[in-house]
Amino acid sequence: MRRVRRPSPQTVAVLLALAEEPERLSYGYDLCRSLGLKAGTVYPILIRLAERGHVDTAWEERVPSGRPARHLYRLSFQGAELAAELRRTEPAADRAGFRASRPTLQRSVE
Amino acid sequence: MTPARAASVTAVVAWGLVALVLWSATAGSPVDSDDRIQQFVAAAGILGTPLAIAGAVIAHRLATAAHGRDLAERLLAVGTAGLRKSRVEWGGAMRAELASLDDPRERNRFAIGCTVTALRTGTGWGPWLIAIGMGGLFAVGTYAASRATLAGGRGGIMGYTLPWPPLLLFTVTFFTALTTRSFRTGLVTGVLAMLAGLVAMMAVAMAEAAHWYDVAGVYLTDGDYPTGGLDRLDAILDPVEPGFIVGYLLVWAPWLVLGTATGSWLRRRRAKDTAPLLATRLSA
Repeated sequence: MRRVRRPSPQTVAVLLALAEEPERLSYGYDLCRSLGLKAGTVYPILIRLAERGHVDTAWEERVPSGRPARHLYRLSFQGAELAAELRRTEPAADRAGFRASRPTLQRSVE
Repeated sequence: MTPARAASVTAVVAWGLVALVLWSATAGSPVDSDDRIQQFVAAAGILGTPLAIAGAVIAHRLATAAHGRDLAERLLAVGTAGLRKSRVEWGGAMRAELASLDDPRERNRFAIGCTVTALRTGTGWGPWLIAIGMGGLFAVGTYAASRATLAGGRGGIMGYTLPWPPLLLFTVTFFTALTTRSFRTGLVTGVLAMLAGLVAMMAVAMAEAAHWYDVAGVYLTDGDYPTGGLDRLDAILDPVEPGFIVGYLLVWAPWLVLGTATGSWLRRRRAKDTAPLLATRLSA
């Protein structure tokens, strides 16, 4: 049987931040800023979540000239279920010290 | 600096440093000057040439990968170069995200974090498993060399520890680069294998040094009798002298780079040869 490991507080923070507006696609750097976490923390989490199917990824479609398309992230159905479960079972997650409940990921894409 | 120039400069500097160290090391040698020059040329060729070529390969790779408008972009470009297939998209995602940032401080911070991520998560468990295997192989090899070379008063284990590990490292990195199609995976595997091998070799060598001290009172590394008596602790610590460790690393390290470079070169060549064939089949 596969062992279910408890996610780290940082992973919980990323999941809950994405769950704030589950339909919206977010940029990696905006997640770092809104959570107050470093890129070296957030990207390994995003990679892991994407590999486990909790996060869907896509490339930006409308790209301003002069810069490459950016990667976008959104919770998958499975990820949304996990986030809901975490909200139920880990109410302390919201108080974990990360700014997970900060209202906006300003530059997120509709 | 162009990749070719970076490679040439690195090769000349590496070879020059080896030559300088060897020339100073032979300065106090009692042999006559002709013999000294011959010894110097042979040693510099054997030790300096692989190091110079390996340095040139690395410098060329770094200079090729390190493109970008500032240090942050160049750093991330190097950090995400040669990622394994499943991580290539993530490398692109991090570079694209960096391109959207303007503040130099933010860019540097972001690039450092992402480079660390790329280096940490870029190769998977394979290299670690190979390194553990190589550690075991080096340990067994050192034990066998110790028992084979010192029995009957012959020379120490140096006859094994200098030529064989480079051959093993070359072989492992050659096949890793060939099968994974990744220069970076080959290099990481080689470095981990070298370090694991060194630690395993040192551990066995210390135990064997104690054994040969008790049995014959000789140094493990070269089988010599000490001139002024030998303390047991000195005998045990002799194989882990910093001079030996640095020497081993300098002799071994170039071969893991050369193995990786040869493996990935052969892989590229095979891909080039098969590409037109595949195109013909697809269009038929």
